[in-house]
Amino acid sequence: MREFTSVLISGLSNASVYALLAMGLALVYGVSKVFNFAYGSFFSLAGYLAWVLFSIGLGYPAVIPLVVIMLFVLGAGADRLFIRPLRPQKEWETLVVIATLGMALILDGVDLAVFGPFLRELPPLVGGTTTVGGFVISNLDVAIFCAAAATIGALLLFLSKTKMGLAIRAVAQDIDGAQVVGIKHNTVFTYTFAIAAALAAVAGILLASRYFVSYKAGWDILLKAWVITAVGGMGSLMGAAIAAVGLALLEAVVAWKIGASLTTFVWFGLLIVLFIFRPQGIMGRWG
Amino acid sequence: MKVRRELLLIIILTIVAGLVPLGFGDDTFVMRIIILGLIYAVVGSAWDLIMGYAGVFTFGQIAFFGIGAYTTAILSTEYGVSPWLGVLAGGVMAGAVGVLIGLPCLRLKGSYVALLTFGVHMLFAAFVVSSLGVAIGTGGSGGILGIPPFSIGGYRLDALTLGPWLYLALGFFAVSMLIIYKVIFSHTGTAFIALRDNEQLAQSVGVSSYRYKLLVFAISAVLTGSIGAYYAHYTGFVSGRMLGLDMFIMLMVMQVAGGLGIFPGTAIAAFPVLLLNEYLRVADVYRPIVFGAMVLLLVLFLPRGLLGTLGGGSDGLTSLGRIDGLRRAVRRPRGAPKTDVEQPSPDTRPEPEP
Repeated sequence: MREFTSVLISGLSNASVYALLAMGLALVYGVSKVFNFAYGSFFSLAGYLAWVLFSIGLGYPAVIPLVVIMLFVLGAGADRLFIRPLRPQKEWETLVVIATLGMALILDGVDLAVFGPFLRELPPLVGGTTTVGGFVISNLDVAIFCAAAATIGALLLFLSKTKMGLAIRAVAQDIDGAQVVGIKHNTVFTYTFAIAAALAAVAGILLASRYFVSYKAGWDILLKAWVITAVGGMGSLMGAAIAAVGLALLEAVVAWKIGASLTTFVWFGLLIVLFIFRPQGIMGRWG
Repeated sequence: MKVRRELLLIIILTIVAGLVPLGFGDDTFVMRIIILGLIYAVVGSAWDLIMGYAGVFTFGQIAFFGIGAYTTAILSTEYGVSPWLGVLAGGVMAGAVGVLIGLPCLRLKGSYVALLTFGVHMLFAAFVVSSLGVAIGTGGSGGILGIPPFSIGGYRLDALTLGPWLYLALGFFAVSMLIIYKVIFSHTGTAFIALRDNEQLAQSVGVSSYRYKLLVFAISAVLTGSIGAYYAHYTGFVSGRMLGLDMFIMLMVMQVAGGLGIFPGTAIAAFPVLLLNEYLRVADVYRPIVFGAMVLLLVLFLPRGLLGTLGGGSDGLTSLGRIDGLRRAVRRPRGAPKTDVEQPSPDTRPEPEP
């Protein structure tokens, strides 16, 4: 029972980060129908950037905002330079997937060329454990959960209270209608892409504080975030959150009882079954 | 007899690939590049058939290649099955997996298919090194060694004499390209182009997208699986390494350079891209960056690829031609698969009341 509780808690802490990542994907897909294959590379790049900032002596309070800003700018630049010019093309969705794959190659290649193939470690966010009513809880789990939840809260607040947030939702609902009332959809696309990159940055740092920084880790994360987004329903933030919790708990239990290497198989099996019966995901709708 | 430009290009490519080695004598480097080029050309063209023509964004190609290679490797090393049957089995196996993936997948939208098939690739790569894979004989991370070469009659090909290997690859290439050509310029191919250019319009006149997509998915998987099986016998070993991102990246560059849906652009692009890859070996860790930048620049500035930009290719049913193309797509030749919605024929149409 005690073991089960700690599995549950570390599962929930991973769930919060997965939810963060999946929301970034869902947001971009919901607004601009772009699927960003470089998302995982943003994630690992954030880990490396954090590592660099730590090595020049900064601490978490400075590193997190700095890396988030860097990734935000990178995301905005990537959309402006490589995705916006492709939109007028006839087969732009295919071309955008290819372009983001190209971006992923470049980013991973840069990571490898600069930092080499070795795993990098970040200093622990917090250490130690807390005992609550006989259960031992890792402080790191709690800290990651709180940080991810706060970021999600900030994102939801941004989407419901600020002008740009409302514009993003308007474009997601009805792009023509949004244009009629004077919302510049290209700016909205760039913002959402940049926000998603910033979310990947937060997730990258949080998970790197628990695991390692590696130039290859991004692909695994991209697949996980995508499965969550697809299970939740492409474009649905609420669905992404629910799916993240469900799948992360499933992952924790499978890793605990059967073995960590099989989680991906279980996830994909689940996804394929879901696709047969409910291809739009739990909360999703076509369109 | 009118010979289509695409057919002409295939014939020229086949002849050139067959003649060049004679000019270079027994140069191993040239031979190896051409053999690898022919293999990549088949995989790339099969990919283009499904991606550029059927408009299904799939990343399953390397998994199909691997499935073909592993199937024949296991059959020939563990069960002593002849490599020729192994190639057949590899193709059938890849095709079966293709249909299995295609069944749930092809009803989904573009990005879903892309990631689901990408997931299949990642899963297959994880599978061959896992304990499940070892149980069926994939050899884990060590792979399978000592895969026997082909033998023709009593003559057994050997790894050092590349000539026969090259002409065998050329045979596979020619047959595969002809099949792809036939598919593209058949009733089915026209239906694909119609679906790609205007899915709603095509469906409204009775072209069933699902059935055609499944069919082309299977054809593409069978061709890729067979050439994967050839590759296993050619190199003599298979391992999880061949499922890495390297091959994927190369195919991607060929695809973009050749132009999506511009047959046989990918096949033509295969050779220069492979040569470039060889010369870029000096760039070492910077190679993926160079290829990534190439992909980005090509997509941005030559979205139709080199061949497409030069005005070649079979982009097909544009403007006026589209309507005619649609008519051809719905007019069902004998033996062609039945479309879902039947066209009302003139004699069953009710007479207007006077």
